[in-house]
Amino acid sequence: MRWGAIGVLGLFGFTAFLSFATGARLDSATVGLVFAAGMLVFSLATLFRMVQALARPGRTLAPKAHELAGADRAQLREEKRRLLRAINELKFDFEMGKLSETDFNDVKQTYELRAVEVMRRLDGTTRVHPEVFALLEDRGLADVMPAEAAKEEPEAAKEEPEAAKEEPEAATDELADSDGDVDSGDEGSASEEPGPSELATTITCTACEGENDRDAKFCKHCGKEISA
Amino acid sequence: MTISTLGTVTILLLFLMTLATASMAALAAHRRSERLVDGATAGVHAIFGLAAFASALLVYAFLAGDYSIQYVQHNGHPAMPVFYKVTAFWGSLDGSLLFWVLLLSLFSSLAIRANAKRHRELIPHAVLVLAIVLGFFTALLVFLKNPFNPFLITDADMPAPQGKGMNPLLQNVYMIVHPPSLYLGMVSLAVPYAFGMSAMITGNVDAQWQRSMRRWVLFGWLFLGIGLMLGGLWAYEELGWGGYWAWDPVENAGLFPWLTCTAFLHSVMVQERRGMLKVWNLVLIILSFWLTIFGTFLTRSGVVQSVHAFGEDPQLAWTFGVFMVIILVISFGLLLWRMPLLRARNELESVLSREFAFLLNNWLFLLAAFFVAGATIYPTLRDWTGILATDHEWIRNITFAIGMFDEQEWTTNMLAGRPPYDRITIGPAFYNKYMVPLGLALIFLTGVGPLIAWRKSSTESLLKQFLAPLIAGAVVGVVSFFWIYQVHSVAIGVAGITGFALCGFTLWTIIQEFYRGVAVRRRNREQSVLDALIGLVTKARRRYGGYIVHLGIVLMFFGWAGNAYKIERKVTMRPGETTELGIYEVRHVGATATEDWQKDMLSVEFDVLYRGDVLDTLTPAKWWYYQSPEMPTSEVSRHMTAGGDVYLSIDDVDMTTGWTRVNLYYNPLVNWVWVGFGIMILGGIICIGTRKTEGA
Repeated sequence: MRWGAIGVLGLFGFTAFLSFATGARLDSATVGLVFAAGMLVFSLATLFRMVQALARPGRTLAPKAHELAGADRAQLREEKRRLLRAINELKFDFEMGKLSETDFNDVKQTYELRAVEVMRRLDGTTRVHPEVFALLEDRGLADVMPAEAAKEEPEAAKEEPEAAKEEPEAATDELADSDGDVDSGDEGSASEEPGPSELATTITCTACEGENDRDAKFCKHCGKEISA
Repeated sequence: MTISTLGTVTILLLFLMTLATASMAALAAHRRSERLVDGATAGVHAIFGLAAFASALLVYAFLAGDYSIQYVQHNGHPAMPVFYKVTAFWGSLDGSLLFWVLLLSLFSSLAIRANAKRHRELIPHAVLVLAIVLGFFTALLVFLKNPFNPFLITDADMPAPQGKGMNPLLQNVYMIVHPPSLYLGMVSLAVPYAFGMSAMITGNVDAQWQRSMRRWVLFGWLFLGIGLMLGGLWAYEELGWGGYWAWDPVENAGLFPWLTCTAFLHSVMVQERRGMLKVWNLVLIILSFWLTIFGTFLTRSGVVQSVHAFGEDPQLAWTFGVFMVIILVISFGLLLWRMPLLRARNELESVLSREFAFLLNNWLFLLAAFFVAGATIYPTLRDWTGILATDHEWIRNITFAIGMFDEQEWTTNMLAGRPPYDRITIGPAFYNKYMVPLGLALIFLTGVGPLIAWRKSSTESLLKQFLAPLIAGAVVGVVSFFWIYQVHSVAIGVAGITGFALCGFTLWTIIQEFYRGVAVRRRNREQSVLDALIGLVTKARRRYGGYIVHLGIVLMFFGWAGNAYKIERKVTMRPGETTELGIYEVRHVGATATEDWQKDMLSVEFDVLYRGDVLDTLTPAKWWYYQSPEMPTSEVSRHMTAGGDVYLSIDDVDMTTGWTRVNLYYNPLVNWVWVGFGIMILGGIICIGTRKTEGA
């Protein structure tokens, strides 16, 4: 593509030079012709690229098992993003007076409980935290994920490095794109998101002293918000 | 080799390349071969390369005046300015199809490039779908509408016939931008469709692909909007009938996908927040794409009667018809197949929730889209059924039973030897009758949506949220009624009052959202109001960009509500005579006839007076282009203010006496429509925003 563009510009430059050197008038038809010639070069370059791609030795795409694990993780990540955004949005709506305090606390707690479990599953933790499970049971929400949560889960993070790599980028989208209700107290813009290497470092929850990822907004052990 | 031959060969190559790319993509998906995926991806870029070359050749043919090519001869003229020579490329049917292929291949190429890593698994399937769509349009070029077709009989001794030139009505800057905008909008919707299909084929139906595709839909929505509005502006300034939207089938063609896109942009938020409406969103993506093809079919096959359809072409109509059926069957077949994966994890918990408001708004948008589509195609369907009913009695009986035809009238006509039925046309009054209430309901929801919270809102918070906007709406409704009555001596009807009241209500909700958002932000950090406002919009682009779009919509509705006291008069005036037009008076000053290299011009001068003072002098005119004297154009002249336009166009002038048949219009608040449109576009751009890692 780049060579095609350079070819087109080169042709224009050459024509302009010829016209300047010979003193000939550069009319619209000539410019059109040069442009068409440029496009010919460009189309030939794209055709060449295609042949080049086909001439490479064959490789197969990632096997299907990984794909499925990836899809599961993608869904979980999606769920996590949605829950975090929902909590932030809820806060913003509450602060704007759209919800009563009782409704706010009620809805927020449900979201937080779900977020905790999703984050624990993403993290490869196999069991629902007993306290959370008790709370879920109290609230009649024990069916959120008990069947899967009780089972051993494949360590999807190791199986799917590409998806894992994508996560910081996806999180970037979330912050930059979220209807900004994420905004409450969170100036951290896309550029401040940690890179993959930084994800390994942890922070401690002030409420239960559990270890969490550095970018965590909520503790995956107790569900409380982690203050920065 | 002539340009005609080279162009034809290129188009043929283009067609073969779409087939090769589709085959490579299908094989790549089947064999899971990385090499073939790369080959298919490069194939899409090559399709764009070839389409760009073919388009450049056609533009060159116009610039160089190669009148041995039929398309160039019909649309080009040596005296046309270079700008129009270039734009004549898409000025007529064959070229517009090539332009369509060019844009579709460009978008396909960009979308595949941007998503190659992000949605690797979807790529071969997306390429397959896009290559098939491209193949369809290229096949039209190869087999039915080759823009490079030469004249079959050529005489070496005779010079090539000179070009006829582009239709003078189209030689207008709005008309140059209007079709490409609509094409951009329509074509870009093929990308989300292709990725939606791929998501269903592969079973990766999570919201991630939709997040990438939301921008494409927003882009399509934005350009469809620009195209529709420029079409309206063109009609307003060029056609001289005093309005900008008359529910013409071809304009409607751009409106259906715009409506479904608007619905999608709202409902996708419900999926992102609550994981609901997955099937619905896919349905909207399929419908939006299908409606773009349906719109193209309406515009290009001549099945509907319109001021600017490209002419009748039954062959093209059938081809499009078959393609549309295939799209519907395959898309909805896939949807049914993947239905188990698309089950929502959450349910609607309360009708007092934002998701319910969005759902309601979606139903209304879809209803509006189907209503407009149905009303647009009904006369044609009726004709087709009529032809079948003439031959088959059982069909005839069904049509009598459902009231499509009147049995008595049919029999009387047949006995009298006349055609059994007349072709009907559906006029603006019919559309307005149903679309006005629908529009009012939508503007009401525009106000309601942001006020209620996701999931559920309590009654007391609703009261708190709605009190001020409701009061504002009531005050605006009452004040506008009395103000219009006082100033214009017109008592506006219920629809007018409701329109103004709802504008007031919705405007207040938007102001309230900004005000409270700024207040929350300032509570959390020390900031000036302006900083907080900027921070609010930049950090929450989608939400506040959306509110800005809503603000634009409110202003547009304000402009439309002005129709409640619109004045329209057709009079014959002689020089010196004065006619009243609402609060203004219009005085005939005199007529002048002039000419230039291109046309004869007849202009009439009118003074616009307000309380006896001359405010402005208007000169509406009639132009006769030498190249098509049988089609004079009407040049409108208007006096623009925030309160409304005094809009004049002339029908006829007697040059001996100066008697002039003139159309006088007072279009109240009309300019707010354009202002609102500008704000809407600004809001749309804020919503699209930018992203460092371009995921489209």
